[in-house]
Amino acid sequence: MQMKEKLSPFQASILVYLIQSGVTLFTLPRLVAEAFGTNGWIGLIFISLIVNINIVLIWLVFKISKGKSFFQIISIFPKWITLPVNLFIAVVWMLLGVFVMVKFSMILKVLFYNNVSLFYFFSMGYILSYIMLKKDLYQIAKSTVVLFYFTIWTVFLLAYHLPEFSFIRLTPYFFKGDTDMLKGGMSIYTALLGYELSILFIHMIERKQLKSLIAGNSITSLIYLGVTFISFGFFSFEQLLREMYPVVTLLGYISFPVLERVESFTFSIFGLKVLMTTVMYFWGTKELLQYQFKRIKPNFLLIGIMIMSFFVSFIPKVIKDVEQWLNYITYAATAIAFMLPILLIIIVLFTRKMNRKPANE
Amino acid sequence: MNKVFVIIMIFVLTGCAEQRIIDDLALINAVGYDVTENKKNPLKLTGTFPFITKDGKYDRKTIIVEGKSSKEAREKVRLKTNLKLESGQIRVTLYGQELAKHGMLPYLQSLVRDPSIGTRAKLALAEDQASDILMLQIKNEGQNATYLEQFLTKLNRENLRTNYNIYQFLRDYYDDGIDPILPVFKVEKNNIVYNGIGLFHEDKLVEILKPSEARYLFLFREEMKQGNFVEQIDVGEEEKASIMLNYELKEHHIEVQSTAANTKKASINIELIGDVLEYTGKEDVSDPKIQKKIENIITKKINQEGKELIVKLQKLQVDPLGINRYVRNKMNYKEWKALDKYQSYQEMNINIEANIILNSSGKWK
Repeated sequence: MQMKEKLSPFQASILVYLIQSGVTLFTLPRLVAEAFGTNGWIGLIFISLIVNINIVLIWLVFKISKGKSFFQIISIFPKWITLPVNLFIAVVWMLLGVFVMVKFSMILKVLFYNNVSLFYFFSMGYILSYIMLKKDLYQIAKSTVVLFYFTIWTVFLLAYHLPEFSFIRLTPYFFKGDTDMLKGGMSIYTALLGYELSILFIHMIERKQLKSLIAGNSITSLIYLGVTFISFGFFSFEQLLREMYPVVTLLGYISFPVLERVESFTFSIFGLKVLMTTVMYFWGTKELLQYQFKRIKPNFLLIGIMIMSFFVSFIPKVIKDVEQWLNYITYAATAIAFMLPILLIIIVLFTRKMNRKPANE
Repeated sequence: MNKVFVIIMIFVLTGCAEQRIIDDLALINAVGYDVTENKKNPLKLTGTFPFITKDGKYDRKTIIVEGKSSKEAREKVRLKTNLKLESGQIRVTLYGQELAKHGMLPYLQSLVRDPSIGTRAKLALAEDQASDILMLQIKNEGQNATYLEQFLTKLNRENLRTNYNIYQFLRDYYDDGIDPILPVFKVEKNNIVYNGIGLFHEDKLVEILKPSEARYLFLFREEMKQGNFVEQIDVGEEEKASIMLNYELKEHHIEVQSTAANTKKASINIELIGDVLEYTGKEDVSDPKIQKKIENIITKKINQEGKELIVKLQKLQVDPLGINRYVRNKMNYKEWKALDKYQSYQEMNINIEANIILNSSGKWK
């Protein structure tokens, strides 16, 4: 992939933030309460730190290989060796992109548009994704900056809850109650997933690669932390455990002088973030497949991915199925996030020692 | 060509979403729940919604049905109107006293589960039957729902803090150190009047405090920042005089003196700064000496009558002030879980430490 223009660190940060923040945000405060118990919001800090470690790993790949891209590193292998691995990663990322959008659409349908067929939501989603994916990453990143400014103001809506916020409800207990640190922690970790795609574009960032990635993760973490902290003081703990989508309730509690029920509007705005997550996972899929199948025209490949995703979207019938799927897929994605950089570091060190010429050029 | 196609698709697709024509909708704005004698259909549901009559006038329709559950009754309402029912505009839900005594939770859960109903929908109790209040036709007052909603908002603004919505009720119900309260309405002389505060033990109505009793309750709840205080006091030798203060709550904190083993004592500290707006006695209220005297009298009165209220609350085992939350925050988790909350609440010695300071005598000496 030739790229004329490089991403500025700011663009890269925003890109990472927008890939990360997806549909899990709406359930996050409950997930945190289920996983860590009372004052569980503090647990988010640890999880964010683990993500940072992972980002450092990805950066190490970039550093040790002296700025080589992912594809340059793996080009020492013949294609039939990389095929299964790349195919696997591509499928996982594609499914993740699909199901994030499916889940959002389904929640949208349950909460606001009961009688609208999912077909319309999906069609809109894929048309918009397709328009974005036709451009290269630099163009996508440019549009993310616009989307960022378009959506970031929703964070300030949190201030509306201050009158109902009470420190007494936070309780003095830390991580008490029914906790499920490992499994729950894992599900929270998946809320931050998305940064792993940076392994494909870290070499396209102009400078301050590590800092901009960590900054992106920090934006996400801070927003998550803020939302969760407010939720813990806004809801009572037992209530939080029973709220299916605490953040939707939180948004729904805002009242403007002229507007009742603003949550349907803000929730739809969130759709743009979800769209970005989907677009970037599809982008990752496209890049991987493009490397493997150089002969196919990029546009055909893209249309192929879109059509396949479109049909996959209709496989799960209910939210429960989607959650089940998402669970497995995010586990796989988490594994990829950690294993891939480690694997690449080994490969880089190994090639350096062997001083082998690339087999594929 | 491609772009044109995409743009056309976007417009066409959005147009396919569901259409709702407002004239064909029954936008329910208030619901009432009551119990009936009927064993088979124990729930009486009253729904009211506005509609435009054939000659273009704004009117309302109220439908009463009996059913097994609230959603089942709703289905019956559907059979009684030519309009499409919508719950998204529910602003007030009313509960009859009998029903509230049996527990509110099932009804609230069915409300909060339904995504079309906002969590800011207000809740209130009816002293008798909720259907009476919703059926009442007040002269020149179109929608009882908007009337009640305004009423509740007004009470809240006047710092009675009785504004309880679905979220707030469930929050206090699920919090383990506080009990919810709800305002009570009744029908009086063809009018809807506010008639006190319903106290809850968990989700069951235990007692209704009359407005005169309830005023201290709000004073001791932290949310109230300003208010009025009208009292008969005896400053000099002569008859009792009436005094009215407009006050501001300067300080409010609840202190629990507790070691883990001993949580027997709590005090509610409040400081009020007030302006005299009315005084019918003969003394000169601008005189600092008299002011001091009045301060002492009122302080004593609040301490004493407040204490009586608190003792009553303790006896009823209701904790609308959330004293137990402060107890909780003084203990470690294990001790708190082992504690019999209501038992310890009942045995507590809760004192009022009020401090009233007169700021001025108004604009008259």
